[in-house]
Amino acid sequence: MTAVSKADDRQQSGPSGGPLSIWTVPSPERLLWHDLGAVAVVFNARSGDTHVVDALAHEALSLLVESPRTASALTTALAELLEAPEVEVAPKVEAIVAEFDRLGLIFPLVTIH
Amino acid sequence: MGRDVRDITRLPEHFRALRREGLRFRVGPFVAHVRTPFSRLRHDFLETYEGFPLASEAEATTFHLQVRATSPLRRWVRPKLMADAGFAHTPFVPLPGDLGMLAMEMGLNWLVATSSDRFLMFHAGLVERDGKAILMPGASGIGKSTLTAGLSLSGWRFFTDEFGLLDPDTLAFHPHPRPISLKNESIPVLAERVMPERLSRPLHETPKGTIRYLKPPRDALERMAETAPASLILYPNYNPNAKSQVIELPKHEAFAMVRGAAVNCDRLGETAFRTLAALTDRCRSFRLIYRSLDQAIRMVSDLMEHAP
Amino acid sequence: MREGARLLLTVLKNPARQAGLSADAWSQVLYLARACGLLGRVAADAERYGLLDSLAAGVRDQLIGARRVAEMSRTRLLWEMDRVRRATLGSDIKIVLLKGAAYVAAGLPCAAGRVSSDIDVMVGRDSLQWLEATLMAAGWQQVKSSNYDQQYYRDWMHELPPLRHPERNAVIDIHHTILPPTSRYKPDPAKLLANARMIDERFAVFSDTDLLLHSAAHLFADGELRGGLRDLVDQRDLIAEFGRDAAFWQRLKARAEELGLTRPLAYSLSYAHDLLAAPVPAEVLTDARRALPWPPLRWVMDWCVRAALIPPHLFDRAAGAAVAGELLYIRSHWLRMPPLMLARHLGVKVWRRTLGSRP
Repeated sequence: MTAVSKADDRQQSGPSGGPLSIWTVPSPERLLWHDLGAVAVVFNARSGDTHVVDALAHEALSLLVESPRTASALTTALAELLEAPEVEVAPKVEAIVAEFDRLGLIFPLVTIH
Repeated sequence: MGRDVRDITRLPEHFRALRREGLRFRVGPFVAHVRTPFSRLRHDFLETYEGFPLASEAEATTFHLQVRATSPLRRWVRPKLMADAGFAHTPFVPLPGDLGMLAMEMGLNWLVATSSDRFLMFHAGLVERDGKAILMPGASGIGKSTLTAGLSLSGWRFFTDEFGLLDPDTLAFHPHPRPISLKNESIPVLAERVMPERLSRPLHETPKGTIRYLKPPRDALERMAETAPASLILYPNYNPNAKSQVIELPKHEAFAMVRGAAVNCDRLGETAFRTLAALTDRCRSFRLIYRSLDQAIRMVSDLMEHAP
Repeated sequence: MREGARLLLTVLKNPARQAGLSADAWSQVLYLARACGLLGRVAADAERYGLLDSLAAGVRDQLIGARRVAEMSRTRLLWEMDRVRRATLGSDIKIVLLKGAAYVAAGLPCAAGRVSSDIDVMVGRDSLQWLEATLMAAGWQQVKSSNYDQQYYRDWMHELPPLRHPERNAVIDIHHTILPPTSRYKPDPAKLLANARMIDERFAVFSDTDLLLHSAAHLFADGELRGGLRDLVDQRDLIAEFGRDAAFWQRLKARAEELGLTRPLAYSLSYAHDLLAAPVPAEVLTDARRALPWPPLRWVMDWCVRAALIPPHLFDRAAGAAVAGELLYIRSHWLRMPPLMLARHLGVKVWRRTLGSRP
């Protein structure tokens, strides 16, 4: 079981996963959610892995399920939801996106070079 | 094999059968078929497994195990023996000729652990009272076996001290009553509570120190087909220097802890996830810190009121 | 042939026969199927024939467990493909899936209940280094750490030293051809790659003839045959699937000649037919058997294959099977390496075992 959280010192992006990628959640129907109060756990039936997801990560994933978008578009949407300045939200979102990508919860749909 | 004998006994015919065609007996949902040429081990086995029901011809064998000499010579000269399940990549190690029961138990444990994917399997002790099963996960050496044994001698029905087998479809646990492996300091604690003949002879200088096997209580064997719904999850922690207390785990911690005890959850995938979610929705989880066995038994009694 | 082996072959040939098995017969079938890595297959057959609910609880429990494990194996294979796809995004490399991964990706019947521990892929020699470096950049790591092992693979094997992803604990074998370069059979990898069929923008699988020839070569030229019944079941299924097209047999013969694999194919068709009732047309069988060795080598081989494909039951073990296994181990190494090389390799293995380092 891995934890996805606002790990802000972790930064990693795979090949072709640059800041301009449009991220999508492949087969969101294969994500099983279970609410545990403070956090939620999500089982990815494509990988067989279970992840612990905090509120911000949960919201970020839900937005990407709603419609594919870039990390900066995700930042804008989350900043609006949290009523917080984008500059504050941006590094957290970048870390979350990198982590989602590493775990295979999201996939770059198109990469604009 | 005798026509009237339905349980394992210390009769000569079972002693002989163990060497020749082997003995097939039922232990919870499994049928084990064991065989060994070592007469010391055959004596130990018949004593420890006395009363286990023999399998009928209508039941298929779940797994086979033999305890054999590491080489033909080693059967006679400074005997070395090891478990053999017939498969490649087993973790069995050679042991001195005196530790046959340990080889047998470790072999059977490995087979259970690798043949139970029909169930979500927990590394845990398990007892039942009033139709409510209490799951007690825990690593070895923190009092799991001792508490399981203690409860089994105080009005609870013994299910297992090692493998909690949960049916994902019904959320009921299946008993798997095997001899309870008592180690080192826990031996005298239990020895004063049972008749001496309930305990096997001590096995000295095993990799885990001294071991004695406590035979499962009679009713645990007679009712080994009776399942019970999961009702309560306890994490026992024996600590004579700490303040005794009961701490309820928050939901996310309860989920993470019980998932950590579910040995085959990576093999069961989505079934495991759904079952763990349902289990933690249904059962409350507590950490139990205690200073003595009697105290722990009282604490578990009090906690039964939280079991649905 | 031993009773247990006969029973296992019976239910593999005709799964409906599971319904009539006695408890004692099941005891043998469950044990041998597990020893041969075919328990998942027996479970898949029971499900496909709607027999699961009619079986005794103890048997059903084992099959349900095996089915879950096979399902997870399939999930893991598809997931590793997804991860390789992610790691190679933006390139135009063509990766051919081999064995279990190919059967799953191509939706072939032999994928049912099949458990694979690793994912095997093949690329052209000129793409090897790039793929290895790309996967390592994406988190895969070398499994074989000793210089000797690394050099051994790179000099004498048909694949790179295995890579493992530490978080997923999954191993990938990257091949550049299907048999070790030292094998007496030398199918041209360029020809295999040229005929491979793309299944999406990244992955391909071998053509129908080559899928069968690869499995046959693996079992009868490269492998140690031990527990090889699973591979023979794959071959039986491939034969049954592709053989429905009458033109397949002519193409198969031509392709086996082109790749120099007529003898492994002859073994495959013979044993899949004799042991598992593979639907091979009589004239094809007769023709293929011309490539088999002459007696007495043929008789020795026949004895070895039958004894080694299905291990004996634990409680029914004679010395014969062990000897056959050893003979075949030496034989397969002999097929694979020049004699001096073989002596050195076995020597290093023994030497390291004596020193107590990891095998």
